[in-house]
Amino acid sequence: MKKIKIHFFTKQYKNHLVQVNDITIQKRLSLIHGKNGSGKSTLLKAIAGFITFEGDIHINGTTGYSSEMNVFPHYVKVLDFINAMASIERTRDIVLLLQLLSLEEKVDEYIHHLSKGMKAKLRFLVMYMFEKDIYLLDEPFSGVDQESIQQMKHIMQTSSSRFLIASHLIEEFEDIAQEVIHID
Amino acid sequence: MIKLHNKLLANQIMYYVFASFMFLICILSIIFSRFYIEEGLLQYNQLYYSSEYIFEIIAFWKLLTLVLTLYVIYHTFYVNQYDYFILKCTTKTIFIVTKLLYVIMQMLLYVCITWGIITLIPLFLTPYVQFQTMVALLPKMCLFALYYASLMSYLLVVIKHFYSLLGIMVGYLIVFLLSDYSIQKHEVSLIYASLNTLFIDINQYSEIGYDFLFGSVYALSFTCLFIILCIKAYISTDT
Repeated sequence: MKKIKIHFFTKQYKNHLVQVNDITIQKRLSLIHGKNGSGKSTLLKAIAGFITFEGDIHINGTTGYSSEMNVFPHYVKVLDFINAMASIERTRDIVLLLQLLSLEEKVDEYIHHLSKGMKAKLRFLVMYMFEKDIYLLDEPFSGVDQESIQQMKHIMQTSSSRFLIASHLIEEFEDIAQEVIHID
Repeated sequence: MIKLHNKLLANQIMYYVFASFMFLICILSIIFSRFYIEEGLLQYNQLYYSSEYIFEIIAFWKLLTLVLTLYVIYHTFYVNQYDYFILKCTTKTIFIVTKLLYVIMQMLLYVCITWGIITLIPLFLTPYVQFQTMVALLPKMCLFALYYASLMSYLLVVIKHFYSLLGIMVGYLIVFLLSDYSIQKHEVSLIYASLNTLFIDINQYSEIGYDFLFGSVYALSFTCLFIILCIKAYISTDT
């Protein structure tokens, strides 16, 4: 398994500085843990290539990203959204993923009518349906019930891809995380 | 990618908004055509009534177009920020260019349909229609809509706040209220000319008819400039 190396990472916001000196992520299921405002989301966005920063991030392979925010398009049905996204790139078996995440009954609903947990599962599905080497998840279990958390964990555990998860809740990932990286 | 934007942005509300604006243009065209006046009188004063019709309908068309542009840009760049989902599969440049192209296509479609309504309604309801004036107006109307769409897109990408769009609306309204009818270009006031450098307007000038104060080339150049700036700003800022 190739390593993800972060070296002297610095991101300067208007009123806030995020600094991470040296991190090496080696395992397939890794958790970045830190309190609110420690820079977990910033680090994930930097690895995904969404933000500019100073320092070095070495990563081999393609990345998928799931934001913490519900940035879905408005007034679009679940299936229409999935199909629209599927038109960009080759995908995994979407029907199987819908079943694994118990979303098959929600496909005809508008996204804005879904609960917080359902939206989190849809975010996960839209990220995971594209075949990538590394998946970056920002607070993936926020607002998700235990049954749904188990469904998502099952997919992560049985997948051959790598998962890098950012969360402030260490106990939610104790059973699956192969390494925990703490950032302050 | 344009198809993808269409699938994600063209929702029911968008259709209702576009339909409402077209319906409003339709109603205003019928009212301003003065179809209720006796046909003999309309025929006798053809030039007067047709000029009045064009002047009134263009004034309302400009205001409605600006409000619709504001809505389209707000809906496209502010409400629907689905960038995270797509940027892992394409580049930022392709994403923003296709999004802008989608907005341009939407605005051009709207202008062409409303132009058709404005041109055809007097043709059916009254004995007059100024085809030449209307044909000459079409590219200027397109340019007017595209100029404000590009300006609003740029400001929203840079400032990331809805109030930036309201600022443009207020600026244009001041220009709109300051405009004089049937004067020559060199007779416009200094404040009107200054405001027109940013808040361009189509006005009726006695020597050349309906035109931008600084001409169509100026409007086109700045439209292109704002589009380029918008693309550059989007690429260089964090998602």
